[in-house]
Amino acid sequence: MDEIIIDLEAYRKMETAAKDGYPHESCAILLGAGNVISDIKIIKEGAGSCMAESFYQIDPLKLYEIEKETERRSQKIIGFFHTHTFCEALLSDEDKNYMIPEMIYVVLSLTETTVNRLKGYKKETENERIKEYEVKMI
Amino acid sequence: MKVYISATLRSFFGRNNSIEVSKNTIKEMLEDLTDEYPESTKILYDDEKKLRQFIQIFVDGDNRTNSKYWDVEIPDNKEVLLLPAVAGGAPVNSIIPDERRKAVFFDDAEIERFGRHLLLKDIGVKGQKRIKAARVAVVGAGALGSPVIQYLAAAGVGTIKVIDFDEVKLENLQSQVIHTSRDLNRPKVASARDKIKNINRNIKIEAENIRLEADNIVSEIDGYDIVIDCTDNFKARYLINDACVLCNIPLVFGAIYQFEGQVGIFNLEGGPCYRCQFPEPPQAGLVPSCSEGGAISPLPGIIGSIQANEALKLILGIGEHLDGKLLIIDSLYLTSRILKIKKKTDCAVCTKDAKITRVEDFDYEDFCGLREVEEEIPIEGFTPEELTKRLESGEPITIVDVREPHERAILRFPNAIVIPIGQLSRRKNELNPEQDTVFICKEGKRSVLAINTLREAGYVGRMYNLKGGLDAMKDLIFPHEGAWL
Ligand SMILES: [Zn+2]
Ligand SMILES: [Zn+2]
Repeated sequence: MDEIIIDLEAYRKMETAAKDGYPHESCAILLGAGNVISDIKIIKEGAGSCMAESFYQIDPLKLYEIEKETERRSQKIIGFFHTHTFCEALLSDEDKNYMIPEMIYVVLSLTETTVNRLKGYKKETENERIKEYEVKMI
Repeated sequence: MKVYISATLRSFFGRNNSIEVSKNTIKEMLEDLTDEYPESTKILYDDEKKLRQFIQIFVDGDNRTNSKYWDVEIPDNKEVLLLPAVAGGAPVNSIIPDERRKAVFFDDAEIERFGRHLLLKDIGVKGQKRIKAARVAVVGAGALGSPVIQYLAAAGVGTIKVIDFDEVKLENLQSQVIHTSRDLNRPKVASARDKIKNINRNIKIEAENIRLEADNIVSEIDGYDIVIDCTDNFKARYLINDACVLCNIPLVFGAIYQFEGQVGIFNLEGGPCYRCQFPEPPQAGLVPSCSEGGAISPLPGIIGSIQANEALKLILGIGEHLDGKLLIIDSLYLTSRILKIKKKTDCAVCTKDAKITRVEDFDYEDFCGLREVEEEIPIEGFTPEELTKRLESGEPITIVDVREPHERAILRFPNAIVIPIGQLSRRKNELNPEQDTVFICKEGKRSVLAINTLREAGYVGRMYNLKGGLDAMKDLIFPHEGAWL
């Protein structure tokens, strides 16, 4: 299996965001290069962005704002992170429908007491096949 | 106009973050972009040429994704933003509400009995409580019903309803493993109830020895969490599908034929229904129902076990399941594939303005082409006794066998001409219109279709149907003919 690599610091941020958001889902924008996630930008609820028990959504205009900001810092958006609070880190049909090809999607499953599993996926442009990646921390 | 391309989409637009387009409506802008960057077509549109769900178009902070804005002129100084909507949802949750789960308790014996489930991370105590709280209706206690009912009982489903009108016959024992030779001639539901009781006395069993019809199906299934279709005929499938849609109950569908089986989940939270995939049954006669066609013994075991597994996953709210999909398994060559089922926008039953608004006494038999009583020109027929007499009299008569080759291999009708239904109209010249011709099949239904087919094709000879088919006749003539293999 191909790999997605996450900087440990960035992973800690994911965990914190996940626990803070519980029982609602949390989400973030992944920054880095290639398949290496070096930092994340957590999305807070507000305007068109919302997080619920089984749904999340990032306001496109918020993403636009963050894009401008990351460009100024010469950072690159390589994908998205979100949590599943009551079920496995498997992609739902809705997740799959909204996937932008070639972007990294990282899903973390957690319950009230434990953070369970981190899984990574990418949708290929050709035939829209979804591939799972092994997630490694460094 | 200037079009800003989101960083997340840029690789499809030659890595440009901003593109100048010499057009002034969104429609023309999109056409221009896909002309200039053919790669972008894949990301902008789906297979049906519709803008993808995640593509969003903004002008001046206003969402202009809806195509009703696409012909509006946009002033030259405005910037158009092409952005993705990033969103998602959790996989389906349990169909058993939390209040019902919380009302469930286990005694020590149950903790021991379900210990192996409780150990599983994805089931655990919570999951096992959901299973106990669940109410499942199984229609059909035959080949598919056998594994379904026994596994649901073993897994600990709290309430199981079994609906079947039939009695256990010797030929059922080849595939209906819930029944044994001791159960011969008993109602299938009685035999099923005994088996469930033997597995777990605490299960609430509702055994209904009735045939489901348009006027009773709703009251039979209403209030259940899941209906599992374990029937073997098209009439029942459409009846069950329609009732499930109208009662808003998810349906776990299963079917077997020869070596092939199908499983799917329909009508889950407004998802596609059986009619979305099969608006009409296949032309009658071309596909014999399972009761006419038969299947290899373990096949219902495989398909029924998957049905039970899918039902449990719905109850538990775990894993990926066959919602809006049809799993097709070929047990002969060990291949399988999954067919995606789309919700049909003009489905007769599951859309907002559907034609069917109640399970009507709509003529399923007619719909399926299996009607026995004829309209228009009545079809004359021989009873098995009459045909036997006629054969013994030695008067010339033509017998046409319209059964499938595998059915003929079991029971050969002596001196019959063999013409499959699909070839009848083209091969009508092989028949002698001066001579009485009798059409035979297994149950006397496809032979009626054969006669109608030939009538439509303009054949004018005298045609008769063997009433009740070979099933009704085999005891009469075949014992001494020795045609049984
Ligand atoms: Zn998700
Ligand atoms: Zn439908």
